[in-house]
Amino acid sequence: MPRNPFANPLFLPVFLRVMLLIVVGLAAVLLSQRRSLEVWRRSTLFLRVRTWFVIGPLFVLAAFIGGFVAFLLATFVVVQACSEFARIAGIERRYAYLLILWGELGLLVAALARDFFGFLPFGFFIALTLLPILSGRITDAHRQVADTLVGYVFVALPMAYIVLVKSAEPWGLNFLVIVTVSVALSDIAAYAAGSALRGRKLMPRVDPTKTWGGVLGNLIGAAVGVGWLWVAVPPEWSPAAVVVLVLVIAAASVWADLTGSFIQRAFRTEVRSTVILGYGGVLNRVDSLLMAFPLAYFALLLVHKLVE
Amino acid sequence: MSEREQSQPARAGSSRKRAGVPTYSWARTPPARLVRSGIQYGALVPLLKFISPFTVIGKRNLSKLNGPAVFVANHQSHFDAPISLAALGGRVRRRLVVAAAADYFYSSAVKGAAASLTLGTVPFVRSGGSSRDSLQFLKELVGKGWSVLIFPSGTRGTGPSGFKKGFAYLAVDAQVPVVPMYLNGLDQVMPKGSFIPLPGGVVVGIGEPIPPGDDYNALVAKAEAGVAEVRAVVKGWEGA
Repeated sequence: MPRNPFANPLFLPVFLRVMLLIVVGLAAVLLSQRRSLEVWRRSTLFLRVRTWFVIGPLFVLAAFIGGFVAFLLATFVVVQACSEFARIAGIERRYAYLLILWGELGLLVAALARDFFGFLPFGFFIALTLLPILSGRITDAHRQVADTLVGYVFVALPMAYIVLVKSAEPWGLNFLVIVTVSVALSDIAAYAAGSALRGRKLMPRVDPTKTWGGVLGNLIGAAVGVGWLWVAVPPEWSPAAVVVLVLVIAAASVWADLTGSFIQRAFRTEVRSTVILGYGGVLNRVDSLLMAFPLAYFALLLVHKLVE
Repeated sequence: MSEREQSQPARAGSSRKRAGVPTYSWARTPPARLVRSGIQYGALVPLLKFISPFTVIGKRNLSKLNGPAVFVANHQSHFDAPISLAALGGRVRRRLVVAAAADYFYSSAVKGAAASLTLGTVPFVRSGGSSRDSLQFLKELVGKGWSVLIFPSGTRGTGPSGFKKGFAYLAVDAQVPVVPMYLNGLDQVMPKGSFIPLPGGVVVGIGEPIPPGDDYNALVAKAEAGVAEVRAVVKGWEGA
């Protein structure tokens, strides 16, 4: 059920911090650009900042309201991101529809029937293999099945994890907000530090643009993100858990960059989408979060176990 | 029926049915337009934004119009008309008809009525002598202040070339400008042969209005060049 976000004492502090972050980002960009407003208004950077002014409050509101509002946002992300992956990978439409459908089913199961969550991947594999079996179209089916499976693990399953953790853990909402903001900051800081510091290439054969300077940016961005939203960090999280969280978010952001790059290169496509102004596709915007979220969650659980 | 349509009783009988194809004039009456606005604002546009979030480039070109116009666009998908309507905005959409293939969209009465009511389509016979009747009917609508959206290549899966002359007859004879449009990305959302959309982003480019002039062939060439120009802008924007 949707909730009144103002009833949650965490809402206003988080909302204001996120908005302040965007305003500070806008000011920093304006100062660094030193271009006339008219020229700047037509730039991609302007579109990106404008997009953040929409995405930021929308995400915080949806996360705190929950219920079908959050479900609608998650549905949009699953549908668009799965579609984009299907295009990048050249997946046939019937496999793409199954990927989207199972992605949606995953959101529902995570929210309403958590006991069956463990069955989702296996159930998807059964449904996926039934497609060529029942249709009798087996030419290239092994590649279609394999690529669709990658899409499921890369996009749809992590989205279901986000819903699962948010609804199952008492600190699920805090975790979602902290990880999402930190991943976004980690990506932005990586871009800024990579452009400013440059330095040696990290993996030039996989991603010729990623540098060690960018990796440092990832780490700083993740740390600033967690620190900025310290108000949302639950008291039961130990300092060790928070440090691990920062490290895992930074590492997952780097991993997401490299994975996204190798996937595009492997499929030899440069599929561009225009869903998010200035950024292209939804997948491009959420891939780091999708990879960081489950990893950070299990890292946190592991640290809690070890500390106990 | 609108006031201007009611003022022409001599044509009323013929406008109900031309060359065996009903004209669905009820779909342009004020109550039907009100229902259509409700459907488009309340369901169609939000649904399209969810399935195919679209970005419109060059919308300020529409402010240069001060009367009806003929909008021409490349044709890729059954989504072209709804996305174009959503991209053009309420001001243009209120008095806009879409020329739709009579043999496809009006193959049954229910299909035709649904298309006419929700999208404001009018049947357009694509071949034979009846296509002249269709053009004549569109000219009459333009004369009454309606704009027309037409896909001049006549079939899906085409680029900004190979336009048929019908729209030029319409624009030159009625002396209304032609507005070139380019739709990008819909070939992946719902290509020919597909009936379920695969969601994805779309860009709609709107070019500067082209004066009709008095030469049909020259207008066809200008419109093709106009659509190609908008295409270049869209592609350049996408790659930015």
